[in-house]
Amino acid sequence: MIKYICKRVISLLPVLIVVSMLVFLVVHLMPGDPARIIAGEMATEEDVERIRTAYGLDLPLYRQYFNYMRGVLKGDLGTSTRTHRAVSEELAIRFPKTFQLALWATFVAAVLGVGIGILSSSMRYSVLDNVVSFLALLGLATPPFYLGLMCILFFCVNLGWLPISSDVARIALILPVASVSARSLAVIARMTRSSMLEVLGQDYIMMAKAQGFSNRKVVFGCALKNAMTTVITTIGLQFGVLLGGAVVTEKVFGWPGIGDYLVTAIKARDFMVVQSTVLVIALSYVIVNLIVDLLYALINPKIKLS
Amino acid sequence: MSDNLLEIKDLHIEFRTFDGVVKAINGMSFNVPRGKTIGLVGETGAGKTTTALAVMGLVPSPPGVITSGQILFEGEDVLKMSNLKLRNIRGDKISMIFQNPMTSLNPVYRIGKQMSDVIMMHQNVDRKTAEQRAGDMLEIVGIRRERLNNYPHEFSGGMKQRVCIAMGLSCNPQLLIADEPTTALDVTIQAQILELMKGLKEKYNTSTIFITHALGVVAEIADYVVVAYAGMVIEQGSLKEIFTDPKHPYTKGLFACLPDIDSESSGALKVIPGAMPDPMQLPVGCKFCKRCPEAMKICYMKEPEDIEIAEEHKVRCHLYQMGSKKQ
Repeated sequence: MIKYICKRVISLLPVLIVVSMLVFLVVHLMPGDPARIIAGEMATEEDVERIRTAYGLDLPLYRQYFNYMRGVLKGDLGTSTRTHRAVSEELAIRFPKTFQLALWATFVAAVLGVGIGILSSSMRYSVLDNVVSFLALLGLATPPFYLGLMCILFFCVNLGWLPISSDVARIALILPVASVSARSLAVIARMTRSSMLEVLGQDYIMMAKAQGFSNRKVVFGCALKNAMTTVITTIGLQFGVLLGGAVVTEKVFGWPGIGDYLVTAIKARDFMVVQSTVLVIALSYVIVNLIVDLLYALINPKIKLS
Repeated sequence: MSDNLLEIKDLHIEFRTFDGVVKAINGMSFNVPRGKTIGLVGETGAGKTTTALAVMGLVPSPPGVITSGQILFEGEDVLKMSNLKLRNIRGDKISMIFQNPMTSLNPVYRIGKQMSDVIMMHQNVDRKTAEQRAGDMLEIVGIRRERLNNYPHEFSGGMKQRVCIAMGLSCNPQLLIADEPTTALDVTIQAQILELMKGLKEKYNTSTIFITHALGVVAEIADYVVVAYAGMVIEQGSLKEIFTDPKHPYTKGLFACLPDIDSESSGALKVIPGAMPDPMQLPVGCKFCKRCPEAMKICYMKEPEDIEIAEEHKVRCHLYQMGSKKQ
């Protein structure tokens, strides 16, 4: 097992390098001249040139990349050109916020999604199953920020049950978590349902029934662990998506996470912030994937050998 | 109580699908005497597996509906049993071995756990005793008991089928239903498994329904032969009767299909022309009439009844009806 973990971790290195390159390149493809943006609208050509040299923006792209990466490896993610604060400091405050939101949302989505998926698969073609399928489709098709806006409108403005935005009270988590998790919940429920149905059609399920196990035992004791191999992957991917993907929703709720940070930075062409934040999101996505792979190996005995 | 462990009486099962009603079992009747092995023979779609599942109370429903008939196990109708009672019988008094050993074991659990789970459930023993028993069973089927700690993918196909057999026998069932247990295996492994099952049968005196489409396998293992066609039994009798004196044109056809290695002619293999009738539109008379080389007028109009040809030999064919052509 330890050997397997090491192998997986080492195989991540090339992925991370390529990811960092892509992020760097994409950010540099953004329209606008960074030096001019930093200098501001009133700056003279000379000022712009001075800034260009100061920030190393006159160097060839690969030199810029190496300079940037040297900093990253030392823990220096650059400085915001807008606020002049270190990006790493800002992320240290904001990332936990996003992590908290993503963790809660994934937790809610996983528990409800798996539960609903199992229920729906064991009552195939029933009214409940059809309702679930419909809602899941709706959940998939609704953008989370739109759902967030509608939730605010309904629960905060019309009903006045919940505070609109504040991160002080635990209760403020409810709406962001609900709107962020809806989509993941739909994805997980659908995946659980289809994967359970697939497993329930297998020969070993008929065998388990023929051995006299009760329906509940067959579903939870025999089928669930098999179905979970695919569901775990989905849950992990959803968590990864939520870590980076709650970008717009955070803005809607004024949630002070990295999504909010990123959107603001993109608007201000704060390229260092964009670059480093995207890198951090990508890194966390890769790490989540690694954890999922390891969990998968725990569940599926066939993996350990290979 | 009769000396029949299991009696299937006029069983009718249909599958109600969107496309129509599929009449899978149309009056299946046969008995399984205690301690004997029945070879249930027939081609694909003859209703062998459905009959077996019905005995276990496991016909998938929907779409399967058992419309009439009785399945008496030790004199009690399986079809009328409560779910709980059925569950207590399954795996304990009646157990089943499935066709494909490759997919019959749960891939994510060690086989020791799978085997002992069944034993724990039916025998009310703790995990340790159950594991002990599981290990004993493995050794009986010729697998070292240390292999209890292995996962199914670490076994070969033949070994998996041994594990399934060990599992099936672990609670000393009175009736073992083996649904084509050797079909998915290659010939040498087939012979091993048959040898094993024969040995176990002598040792435990378990009654067995051995489902197969291979007559060679039947000759190896069965005491009685039941030939099924289109969901009913068309001929049944002792192994000797059926093999030396088949009566029904279909049974005769089956035997004619066996390639003869001694014969000089290197011609094509013989076949029974045509295919099983569509179970959604069964013919009125004999279900075999359209393929029958000896079909008469009456065969298309009236369904034949069981005729007792000899002791322990029944056939369902107009040819042997009183008044028509004599045997």
